[in-house]
This record gives sequence, structure tokens and C-alpha cells, in this order.
Amino acid sequence: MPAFKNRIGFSLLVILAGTCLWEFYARPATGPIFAAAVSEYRNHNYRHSLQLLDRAYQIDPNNASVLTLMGWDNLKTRRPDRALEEFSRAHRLAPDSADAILGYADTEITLEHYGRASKLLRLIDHERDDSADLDMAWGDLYQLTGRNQKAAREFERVLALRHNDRLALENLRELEALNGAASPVGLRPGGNWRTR
Amino acid sequence: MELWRQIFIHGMNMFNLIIISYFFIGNGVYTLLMVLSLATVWVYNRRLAYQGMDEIRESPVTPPVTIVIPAWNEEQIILETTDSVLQTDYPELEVVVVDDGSTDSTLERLVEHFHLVRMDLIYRHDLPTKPVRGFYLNPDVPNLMVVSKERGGKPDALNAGINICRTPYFCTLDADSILEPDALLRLMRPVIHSPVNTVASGGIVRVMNGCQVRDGRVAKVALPRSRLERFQVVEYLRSFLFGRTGWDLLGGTLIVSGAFAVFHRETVAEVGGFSHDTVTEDMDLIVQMHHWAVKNKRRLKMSFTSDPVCWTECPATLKMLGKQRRRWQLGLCQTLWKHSEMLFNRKYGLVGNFSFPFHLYVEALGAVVEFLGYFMVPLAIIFAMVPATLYLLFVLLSLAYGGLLSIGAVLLEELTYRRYPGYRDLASLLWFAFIENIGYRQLVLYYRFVGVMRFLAGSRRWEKVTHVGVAQ
Repeated sequence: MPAFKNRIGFSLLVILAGTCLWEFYARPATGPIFAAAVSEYRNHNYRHSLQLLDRAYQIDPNNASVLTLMGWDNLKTRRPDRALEEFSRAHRLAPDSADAILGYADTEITLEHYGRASKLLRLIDHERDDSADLDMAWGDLYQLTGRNQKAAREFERVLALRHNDRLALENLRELEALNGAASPVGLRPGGNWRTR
Repeated sequence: MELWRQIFIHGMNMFNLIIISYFFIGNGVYTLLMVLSLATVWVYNRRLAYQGMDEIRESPVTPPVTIVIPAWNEEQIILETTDSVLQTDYPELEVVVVDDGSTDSTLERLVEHFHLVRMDLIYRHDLPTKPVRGFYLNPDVPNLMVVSKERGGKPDALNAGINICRTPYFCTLDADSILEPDALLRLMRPVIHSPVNTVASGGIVRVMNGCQVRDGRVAKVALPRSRLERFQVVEYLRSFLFGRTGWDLLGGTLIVSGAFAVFHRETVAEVGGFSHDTVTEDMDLIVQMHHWAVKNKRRLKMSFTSDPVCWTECPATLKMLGKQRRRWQLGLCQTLWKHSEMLFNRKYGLVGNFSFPFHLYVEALGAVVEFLGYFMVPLAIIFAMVPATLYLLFVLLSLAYGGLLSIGAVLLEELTYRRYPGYRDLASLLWFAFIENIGYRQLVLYYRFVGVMRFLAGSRRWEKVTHVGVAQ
């Protein structure tokens, strides 16, 4: 192209190439930091995981995976407001990410926004067959809205997929003891912060 | 869909990188220019306080100067301008008014007012121009000549003036401008004192709107009433007082306003005079002279002085402002593109490696980056890119910094020349410097953006700004 024989045209091409190079190759990779953060999350070191993710966020603030894990870390450390912002951004950046939606829905349940949580969970309903976490979320939602029988079914599904899930088991026992007669308020578990 | 989302996210990330670089480089250089200008103007003022202008006025070796005034349909203001110029305090002065085929009574008014008589003269045809129809002189006003020629545009009229000019230096002056009595003396001072050939010397152009003009002189300086004009007062102060002063100190002058500037005649003739290739012939000439100097291994100097004052009418309506700014931006792009071989060319020293890239990336293309930047805020909100709050903070920061630079220019004016002496004027200027970035900046940015788009579309249209006589 004749425009690029001109120094200005060429310089613009160099700037564009340089920006692409930075974006796709030269920018510090968030991968190793993210992997370390996931490892810390699995070891329940949520605060340390968050510290690592803060570094990853500085490098790539529009990374949905980073935002999602930040959301989970914040949810685990009982900061649902922050988690909500992060899951919301992650969901908008990657609308198909089931993990972001699940986290988003869990946060909404924690914040007692049950209607919004239900809408979000419906978005990933097609993954129910093999997702104990999704069943767990539905179970929580049903239990907190007083639909105990439905909740019990969901917890049973969780146990079918994950036989020793402590929370599902506890919730199920609690529901069986109530025999479906308790009010939703009475059922609200004080420390129901799920471990995924 | 996912692929497009990824492309969009990466595109936004890349744009973020560009806009952040633009912000830091642009504002960094502006800050540098402001600091340099503060120091330069202060030192210059201190020096002038004991040097004065008598030395130049009374020296027998002060070179004669011709003031060339190109005029096309300027019947409203041409007599005032010519009268004012004839009163200029300069030892040897000639005035050439070039009527560029006016369709109104510009020529008739000049002939009638100065009792001019048509004559045929023989002159050097150094630069090609449209045919000259006639020369008009009056032996009782020996230093005034009016040239009537066929319409060829402003560069053509200036070239005709250069052909007729007999002095080593000539000064270009817009027909709608008024010179301060000692402006030419002050403008010639760096030319006379310079150890190397100063081929161009520019002065400050100030806004005449709102001032009281009597007998071709600005009798009382005052701020214009309309907000649009007041914004331009601040803008002119910023552009001239610290923009051009700073570049002058760095030796990177790339723009000298043709509304009021002195040029070395032979050098201008050697580079081919004012070109028709661009719509900002003054900038084109300066860049052309840099180019010529390197090609011919000549040492030249372009200077800018902040105290020779030329008063000019700024556009009083949005329509005229739009025309002016689109033309300036179009001309800037045309000139930079035309001389692109200077970009990062070490032969051109600081001009090629600093000044030219700054004008290209910040002044010319910056208009596109900044304009698009404003659309990134809603996009960021919609698509949840880098937190919208961060984007908004960035926009606010850039607006605040812009305001700070404008306030700096007003304070520089207050600390040095103080043309607007009243405290109410100062308060008003500071206020307008502060709010300039909310609304006015975006408006001008839009005009500049359109100017760049017109350049990309290959436009060469010269948008004429008509004046309505806004001085009181």
C-alpha cells in the first residue's frame, strides 16, 4: 500500500503492531499468577488468593476468569458486595461462563435477592445434570424461600453426584427434621457459606 | 459470537493503551512547555525592562521591512487595518496591500481613501502568481502600494506581495488584524540579535473582540461579552503564551502564525513561496524552510516572541468557529503528511524527532483518539470493560488537567503582560479557563475530528471565515 511507504503511514503501522504485540505477547502473562491464585483458593487461603488476583487484575483488568475467582474469594471472605461487582462484570464480559453465573447467583442468594438469583440460575439450567454446585445453589434458593421439598430434592441430587458433601447432608438433615413445616425465616442457616 | 467478544475486548484493551499513552505524552509535553515558557517569558520581560526598543528604532542598520496584507472581500475592515499599519513605529517600512480579486469594494475603498492612482510597474517575477491587474500608488503616501490581481487564494496573494517586496524582510498580516505600534520593532528584535539567519519570527496574536478600537488602534483592552469569544481568549493565551514560547525555547518551532509574522524574503523565495498544497500556508512554509535548510545544509532559525502583539477578530459564531478549526486541523494534517519524510529523521534534529512527532501524534491524530475516547465511556459501561468508574475518573482527570494548563496560561499572562488589568477580567479569565474543558473543548474537538476526517477524504477546501467587526 502506498500509504505505508510514507513515514507517517509506516509509523502508524508500527504503533498498531506494537500495541498488538503488547496485547497478545509482551504483556506480562496472568496465567501463572492465576494458577497460583486457584491453588491458594483450593487450599482455602482466600486472602492470599485475592492478593495474587489483585496483581493479575493490574495486568489484565478485563479477564473474566480473574474477576470470577476474585468474586469467589470475596464471597468466601464474606464480602458479598464486592463479589457482586466482580461477578457482575465477569458475567457481562463472558455471558456464557457458567462459573461466573453460578457465583453471581450465589452472591445474590447471600444478599437475599432471590428473584435475581433464580433468573441467573435458569441461564445455566442446561448444565444441571452434571453440576453438583448448581444443584446446591438451587437447593439453597429453595430452602431459603421455604420450598423445602424442592430443596430436599436438590440436596439429594448433590449427594448423588458428590457423596460426602457435608453441607448438602447437613441441610438435608435439617429439612428432614423440620418435616417441611417450618417458615423460611426459621430455616435460614447462619453459616451457610458453601465450599465448592 | 465468542470470537467477536474476544476481538472486542482485545480491541478495547489496545485502545486503552493508546489513549493512556496519548494522555501521558500529551500532558507531559504540555507541562514541559508550560514550565519552559514561565521561565522564558519571565526572563525576557526582565531583560526588556532595561533594554527597550530605542536601540533598534534608532539604529541605521535596522533592516527595512515590507508589510504584506492579502485581502479578499475585506471592505469592512481594510481601511482600519491599513491606517493602523501605516502608523506602525518602525524606521523603514513599506506596506503592500494585495487585493486578491475581491468582488466587493475593497479596492475601490482603498483607492478612494488614499487617493491612489493606477500605475504600471515592472517587478521581479520570482514566484508564479495569477496575473496582476494593476498597481495603485500615491506619491503623498510613498510607503503604501496596493496591488490588484486576479483571484488566486491567500498563498497566491502573499506570493504576489513577495514578488513586489524590495526589502530583505517582509511581514505578513491578515487584513482583519491590528498591530500594536511597536509590534514590528519587537518582532524584528530577535531577527537583528540572532547570530544565525532568522528566517521567520512570529509574534502573539490576541483576540480583539470586545476591545475598543479607535483610529486603527486598540484604545482599550477588554474581554468580549460572549462566552464563545471568551473561551477563545483563553485558548489563544494558552496556545501562544506557553505553546509557542516553549517550542521556541526548545528550537522546535513548527508553526508561526501567518496572521502576523516576519519572514526572510530570499529564503522564502528560494523555497518557492507560500504553497497552494495545503490550507495552512503559514505552517507549510515553516516546515518547508526546515526541509530546505537540511537539504542545503544551511543553519536557520525560526523564533517566536511573546510580546509583539497583533490583535485579531476571533470567530463570534459557532458556524465560523467550526470553519476555522476544521481548516486549521485539515491544514495541519496536510502539512504533516506532505513533509512526512521529516518524521523521526535524525537529519532534522529536534524538529524531526520531537516537535514533528508531537504535532502529528498529539495535535493531529490526538483529535481522533480523544474524540473516540469519549465514546469509550458508555461502551465501557455497557460491556463492563475496565471498571466504568475508572474510565470516568480518567476522563475527569484529563479534564481537570486541561483546566490546570489553561489556568496556568492565564496566570502566566497575569504575571507578565497583564493586558487585562481589571480583577474582574482576571477572575473571568480564570473561570473560563476552568470551565473551558466542559463543553467548549469537546466542541472544538468535534471540529478538529471533522478536520481529520476531511483530510482522510482528500478535501482541500479553504473555508473562509467572515468577520463582522466585533471590536467596539
